Amino acid sequence: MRKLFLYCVISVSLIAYFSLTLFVLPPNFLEKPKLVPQPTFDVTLEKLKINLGESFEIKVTSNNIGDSADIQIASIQFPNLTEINETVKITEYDFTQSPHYVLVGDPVGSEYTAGQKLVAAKYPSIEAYSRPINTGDQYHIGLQVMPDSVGTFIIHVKSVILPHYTDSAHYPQSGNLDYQGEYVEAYSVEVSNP
Amino acid sequence: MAILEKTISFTRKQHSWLFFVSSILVSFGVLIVTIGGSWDVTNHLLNRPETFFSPPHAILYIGVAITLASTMIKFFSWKNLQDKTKSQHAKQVKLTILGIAILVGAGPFDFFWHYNFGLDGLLSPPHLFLISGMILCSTASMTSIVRYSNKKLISNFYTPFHFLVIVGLLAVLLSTSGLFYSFSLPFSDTEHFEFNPDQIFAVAFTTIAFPFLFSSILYLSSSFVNRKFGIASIVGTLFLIINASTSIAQNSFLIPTTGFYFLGVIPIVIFDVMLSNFSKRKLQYVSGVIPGMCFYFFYFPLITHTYNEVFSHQIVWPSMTALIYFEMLESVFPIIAIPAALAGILGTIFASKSTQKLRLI
Repeated sequence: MRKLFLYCVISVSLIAYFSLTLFVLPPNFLEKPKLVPQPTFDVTLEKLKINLGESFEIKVTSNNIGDSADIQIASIQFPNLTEINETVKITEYDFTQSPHYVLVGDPVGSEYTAGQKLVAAKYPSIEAYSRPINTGDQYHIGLQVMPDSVGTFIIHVKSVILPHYTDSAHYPQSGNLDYQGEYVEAYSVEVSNP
Repeated sequence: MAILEKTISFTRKQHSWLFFVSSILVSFGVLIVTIGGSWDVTNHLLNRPETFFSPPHAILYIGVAITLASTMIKFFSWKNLQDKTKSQHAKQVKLTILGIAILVGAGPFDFFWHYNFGLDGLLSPPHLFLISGMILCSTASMTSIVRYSNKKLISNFYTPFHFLVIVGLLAVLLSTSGLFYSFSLPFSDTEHFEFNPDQIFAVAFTTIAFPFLFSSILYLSSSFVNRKFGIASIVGTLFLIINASTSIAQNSFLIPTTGFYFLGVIPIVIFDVMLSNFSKRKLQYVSGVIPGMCFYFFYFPLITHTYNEVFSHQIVWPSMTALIYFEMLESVFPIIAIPAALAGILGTIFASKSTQKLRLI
């Protein structure tokens, strides 16, 4: 009798366990709405016009106003340059990961595919990034730039959050496309002869 | 003369006790190393630490220090044991010394590797050294603990020895799990080396090795204490607690899965009940089906990365791990259930044969 009772308890417990883990609980996790992170940034340009030999500062404040996510990247690109060298120096940085310098020709992700679709970098850039990234998180990067030629010095800024499942996961969401097929905000400084 | 004999006898008793305590501390040290190691894996997945000097590495090397100090005490106390007892533990002491030598050597080797090749993957020569040392130390110490306290373990009543043996069993379970993870998780593709296992091999290995290991350790937990109910349940539950603390709680996206994960206590307790109530050997072996089939749940969330390589092919972001795991469950479980159940049975048979040898009966 005791054995029979034991068999019953074991059977019922196992049925309950496998029912819960295989059929009852998984749909709860699968039906959860996907997270919608939303990056934004503010850019402060110190000067709009400088003489050759002078430098200017650019500050980028990156935010996540949406749900938490894994990685937020703020990318600052320099279409006029072929090398970063001494032209650009980081003066302020509080992202959680070290900055990544992208050199011309480096394979980089494109079209917001997190590296699954690669293209060669056409110009250098600095990628500041944090992981993980929570709602309301704010990080800063400041650069001192000293252009080495006269003309319009252009800077592209964009921010992408990964995983990227919706258009909300990148900023800006319209405007100019860069060589990666991703939207950027363009800023410029006029450099003239002294 | 009588006083001198009494002194020697007392000293030997002390040494004997010291030998037992140091064996437990060796296992405890390895347990700390495995906890640090598991936290380190999660830390790499979440934060990509950029330096060797991270909190999980600190925990890990504190564990190594405890293991080293305990091994030294173990060796000196062993030298002063009575000849008969000394010979019973000789092989374990030698294996522990070999293990700690490898474990200590793995530290500078790991630093050298980081310095020269940057961040290493999960499977790398220094990590393999580290894990091998852990397995040697933990297995040898578990055997010492069981042999030392064997008479008390098989008694009809619970004694503190019953609970101390848990440390030894957990250290073996976690360090061997670490080795199995190294040969199955796709975390070893680095800038300089590509040590990732073949995807099909990784899935097949995971499906056989983890259920085999889990059911054999739970079976040993029960058989060491003469099939008294409780110890196997505690060992299994502590495994779940440690895994949840190092792999689930660290990742805020996985915290909602905690309740689901701890349902794993149910099959562990059922397995323990079956072992303590079924006197027929064959029935005991067949009960290995239960921990075998449930390993996919016990080894959540890291196991997701292994099966994803074959069944899902997505990027397993920390925020997406639970979703991918549950998406795969429907297709993976029917495929792995039978081989995992068989591996569970094999684990119990293996553990049953090993019990006698480990106890030295």
